[in-house]
Amino acid sequence: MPLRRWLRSSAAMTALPLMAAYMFFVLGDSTNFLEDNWLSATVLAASAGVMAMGPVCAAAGAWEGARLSRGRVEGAAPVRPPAVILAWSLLPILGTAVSGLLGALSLVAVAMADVPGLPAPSVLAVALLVIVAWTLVGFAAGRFLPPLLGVPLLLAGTWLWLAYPAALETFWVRHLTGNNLGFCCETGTTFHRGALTAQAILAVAVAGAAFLAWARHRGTRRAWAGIAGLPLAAAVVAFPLVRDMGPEAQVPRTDGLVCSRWDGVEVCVWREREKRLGFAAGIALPAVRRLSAATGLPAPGRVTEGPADGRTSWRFAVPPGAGGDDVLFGLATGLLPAAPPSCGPDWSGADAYAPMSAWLALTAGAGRDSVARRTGPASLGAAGRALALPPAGQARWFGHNLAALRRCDIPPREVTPL
Amino acid sequence: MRTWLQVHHVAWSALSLAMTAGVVAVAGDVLVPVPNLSQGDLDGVPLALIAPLAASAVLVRGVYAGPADLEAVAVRPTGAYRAGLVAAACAATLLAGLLLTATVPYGTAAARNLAGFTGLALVASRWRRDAATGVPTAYMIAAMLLGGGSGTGSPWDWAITDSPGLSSWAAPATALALGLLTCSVFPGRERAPS
Amino acid sequence: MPISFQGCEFGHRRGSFVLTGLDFSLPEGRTVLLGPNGSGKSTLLGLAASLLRPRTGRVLYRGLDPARRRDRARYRSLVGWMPQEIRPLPGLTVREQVGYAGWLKGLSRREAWRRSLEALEVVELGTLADGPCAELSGGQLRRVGLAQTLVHDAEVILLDEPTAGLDPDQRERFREIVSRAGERAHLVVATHDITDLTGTYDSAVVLDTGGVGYAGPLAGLVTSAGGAVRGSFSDQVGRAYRRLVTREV
Repeated sequence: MPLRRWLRSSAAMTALPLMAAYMFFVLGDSTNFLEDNWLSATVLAASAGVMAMGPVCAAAGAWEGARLSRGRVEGAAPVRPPAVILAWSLLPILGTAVSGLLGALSLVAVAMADVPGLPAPSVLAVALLVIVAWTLVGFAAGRFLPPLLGVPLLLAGTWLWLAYPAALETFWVRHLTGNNLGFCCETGTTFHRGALTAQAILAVAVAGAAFLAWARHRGTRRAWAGIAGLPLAAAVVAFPLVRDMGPEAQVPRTDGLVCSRWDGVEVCVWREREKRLGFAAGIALPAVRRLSAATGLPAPGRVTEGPADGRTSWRFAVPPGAGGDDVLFGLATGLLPAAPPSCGPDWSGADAYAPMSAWLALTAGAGRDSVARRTGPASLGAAGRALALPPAGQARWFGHNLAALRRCDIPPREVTPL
Repeated sequence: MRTWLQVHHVAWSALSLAMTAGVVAVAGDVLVPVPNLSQGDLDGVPLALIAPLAASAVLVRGVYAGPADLEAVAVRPTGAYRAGLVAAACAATLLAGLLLTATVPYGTAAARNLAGFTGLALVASRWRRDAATGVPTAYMIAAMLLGGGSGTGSPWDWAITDSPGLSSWAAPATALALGLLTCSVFPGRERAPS
Repeated sequence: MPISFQGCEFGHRRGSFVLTGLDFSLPEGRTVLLGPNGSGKSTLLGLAASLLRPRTGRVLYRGLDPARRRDRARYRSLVGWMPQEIRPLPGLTVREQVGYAGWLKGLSRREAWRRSLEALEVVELGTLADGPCAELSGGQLRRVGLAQTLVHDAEVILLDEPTAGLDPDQRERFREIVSRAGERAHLVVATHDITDLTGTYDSAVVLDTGGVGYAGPLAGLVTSAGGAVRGSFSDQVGRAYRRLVTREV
């Protein structure tokens, strides 16, 4: 069949404008909220692609499946294997899906113009796999259902499968659909490999079951049970990979740092922020010296955006647009515990958090106005009271209140303004 | 007439309507989250407003089942039978929705959506019979994405509103009227012989 | 006189016509409708069956115009039509399917049920009457289609490619059945099959590029196309037909 006629006769061509419009709407102004890394852009594009194209491709698959069924493909002499027959009908839909994903990527690429890096191919591959799986489900449905039932069933059913898990409190379900809710990841985090693997496993199983269901003309009950059991088995395999995940599929990032050494201290930022390394070092290094002297903590050998232990390495952040005070505030509060201890409702240690943040930020060199904006005037007052103490007294005040933040049995001291 | 009912899958239509009514009664107020673009946030649409899509598809499938060629040259008014089937289904659903309005929160809105979806599908069948039921589904998804959310009741996003006002009935009632006209006036054939 | 076409034109899309300038009457008795693919044979039968409505002109039978609402039911009760494709209706027996066709044509349920068996016996399917229609072979389905056409005692029977896809044996059997059916009604058969036309048909209509190239007795087809040639009469008709549609000299 001539290429143009082959493409024109495919439902994908009719569905393409619908998909494009839908994708445009799904993407919407989400690009404004992208992080400064290509992974977040890729996840947004892939999510929009899966959400916009998954249901439409599934419906197109139902249409094409019904066409093949009407054409009595299974009854004809088997000149070509079923997979080849299916592939010729699937390819235009797949082509449309790929163009849709590329379109989404090019839209987010505009927002990512200044960010170094490349799209994450594994995320895109899984998104495509999910779309293919649902398209094949459409083919299988079209094999047994007339388009009047198959097309709306697949359109609404796939859409619901992708959209509905966001409403569920059981978070693991949403990590299996492949939609990913359009968000992941902050620059300091990366996509949970387990989630991606789980999505891929389920998608491959759904695709395989759908293909077998489509290809089988007649089958025994046992064969049909096997086909139906394939996605269930995959879900059983995939479930442990996502069982304990929270609402988002992100985990702390461990690689991708760019480092440089100044005065014996190594300063590291994420490679997307390499251009800001000099700026970060210029602000962070004097602050590190001041903080070390004031708190009595040993000076770290490394200041990093990546993982830090708080002793030999300190953590800070230099996101795009962050000014000097923002960097200082991040560095200062990085010395405080990230999470409170489990002490029950009567724990008073939390009262120390804001005054200590203020004191650390002021000590690091941040402006009073900036600190007041972040911690409030009361905390600024308490910090000012601590700053009036002699250096040894300040160090004791810091040490005591740091302990109050870490333990349940030590109440904070002098954390209110006079 | 009994064979006509059998050929047009009336039992399946009745079953799907009953099942939809059950879903509306039991889980109609469960919210389906939607990435609503006009509000820029996840918004929920009650399941009761979406469920009639299934019943509508089965009903429309039944309407156009049967030997279209023979029915197109029939002496009996097959177009009127088709329209009668749709009208009866919509009327019965509306009646049930009104009767149970106190106990089933979205009953009337679900009946309205059934009428609207069926009308849209019947009108769309003039363009492409096989794709007819895809049109109300796409419309519903578009309304969920772009509509104003529950309770606002602008004329076009009737499908996602629970508004009891007449404005949310205008478009679906018009769609149903046009749909009934379409399936009663135009012959059942999908396309002419080559 | 059977169906007449008066100044009829028909096209599926605006600006394009499948048939133009139809101004003739289908001959009485058994008529074969010949023409190459796309010449409009099925469309002509569709017009005659009142499935399609002409863009201009009108179709008449016994003064009844199916385009007029008041004539339509009566017209349709007098004209039977068998489409190219006969689809088994899921869940119905052979007899129920034929009975349903009779009911659609205005017979009462009881009458349709009674006559369905008679029609099935005419097409030699009486023994399969209570079996599921979905299990019939292609040839048997064609005969069910013919029974659907015969069930309401139409005065004009229109058959669209009734022997397409049948093997020679089935074709021969079908031709005999059609021939018998032609004794009860005027018969118009659109076909590609130009073997053994003699004995089965009395007249021929040849469609060519959207119009009627010939309409008259079968024997007249040979002379109108340039005279007799050697061979059997069937061969001569075949050659004449090919000459007509290809303008062979």
